[in-house]
Amino acid sequence: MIAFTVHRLIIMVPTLIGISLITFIIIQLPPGDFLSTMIAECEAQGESGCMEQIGIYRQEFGLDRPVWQQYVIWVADLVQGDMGISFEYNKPVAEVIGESLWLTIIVSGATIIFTWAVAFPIGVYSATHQYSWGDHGLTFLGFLGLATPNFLLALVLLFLGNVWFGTSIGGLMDPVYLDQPWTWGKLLSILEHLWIPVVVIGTSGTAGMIRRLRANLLDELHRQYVVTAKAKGLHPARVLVRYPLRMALNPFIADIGNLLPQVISGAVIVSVVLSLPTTGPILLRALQTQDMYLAGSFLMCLALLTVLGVLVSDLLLALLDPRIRLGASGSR
Amino acid sequence: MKTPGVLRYDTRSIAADYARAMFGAVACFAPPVLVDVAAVLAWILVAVGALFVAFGLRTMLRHLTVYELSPEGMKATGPLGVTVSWEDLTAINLAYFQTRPRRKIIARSPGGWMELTLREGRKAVKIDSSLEGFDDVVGEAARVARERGLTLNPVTLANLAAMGFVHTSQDGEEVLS
Repeated sequence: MIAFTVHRLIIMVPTLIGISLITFIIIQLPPGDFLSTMIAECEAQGESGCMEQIGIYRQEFGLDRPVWQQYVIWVADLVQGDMGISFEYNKPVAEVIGESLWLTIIVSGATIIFTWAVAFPIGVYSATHQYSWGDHGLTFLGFLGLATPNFLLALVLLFLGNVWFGTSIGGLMDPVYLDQPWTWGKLLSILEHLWIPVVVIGTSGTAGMIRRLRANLLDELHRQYVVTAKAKGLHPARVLVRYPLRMALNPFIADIGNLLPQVISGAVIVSVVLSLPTTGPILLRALQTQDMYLAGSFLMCLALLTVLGVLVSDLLLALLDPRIRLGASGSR
Repeated sequence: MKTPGVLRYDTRSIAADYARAMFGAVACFAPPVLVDVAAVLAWILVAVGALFVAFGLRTMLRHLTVYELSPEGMKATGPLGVTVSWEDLTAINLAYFQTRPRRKIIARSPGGWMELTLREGRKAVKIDSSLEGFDDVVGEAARVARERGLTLNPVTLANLAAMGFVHTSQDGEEVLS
């Protein structure tokens, strides 16, 4: 495993360099930048103070230098843990993300737990009871979950949550706790509001996971070793748990690569619809206003988490199921 | 089986592993030493760098180890010498690792490698497909597994099949060649 880990880590180096380059090009592509907008506003208002501030920004972040030098400065700062300044908020990027990152992690963590907790038993049931009424019913629900847009589900649940449970519409906590320090009351309020975004964000993922788990488990259950084990009189539950289930876990593990970036991306559209104070709307705003350091750091973090997630899932898959999958014929 | 032989790791694969270990260690230890890196990042880099150092040490051990395949068993002579006899073989495990996408993968292509573990109780010899004569060792292990009726896990069976050491009998059952 150590050799595999080392090989995978080495592959990550050019991948991350490539991603940082692409990210930088993307945030540089649109004409103009945040400072150009600031200059236009300053000139329109005839202010001189903000022009000095813009000059300081230009010098500090090397914005007056060639693009390749700006890239080198940006990457060097990132390596040192400095994500730069958000021009719009006039604060360090780390400070802008601040609390919203924790709230995003709570929402995403709960969503992941929800997805796995619901998908796993349903997927196993559907595979072991193939073509039963229960399987058909759950399959129907799964397709419904896949086909329903998240934002539509969000709107429906917002309405029902308010009518049936009296939960205030939108947000992740009661308005009285906004911008307040963490207390038990605030935590309880978050937990009370949490179920709506968790169900909304998690539904399609859960449905997809059920389909993949069912298909994988069915593949395994029809293999010869399972038939042999049953013929030898092993208890069906023991046969299921011993190998087929282990192999069928592959999609769960492979999904870690997608889950990690989701933890901080904060499901942008759903967050906007539900007025969630997560990182999603901040990223959207940063991209709209060309707040290059905020947007760039965000995109880089998402890419890094994707690469790390894929690394973790590859390592786990190699541990769990290190078998060859031949695309061409095997050779001896 | 074929005549007993002394087996070593391919020089090119050993050199490539040394290069990987060196590159990784330099890439991980250089930033915390040369520039002012955030503490968390520095710890992560040091931890990953330690992994590359461990990989370098493992490569050195493999470089110094000589394997001997004989009718009695598999013997590793070197700093961590161990012998596993075919008579007392308790388990074999054949794993495949790949670092490239699954397109047109052929066993032991540069994008992946096999790793064979031969166990005799708590003793184990672990070799991978860059060892010269790896196929002979796997073939011998498969033969012993068949003769001794060892139970092989589905992953090992699939990998043995990919190497051509499993065939399907007339009644459709997969058996070791």
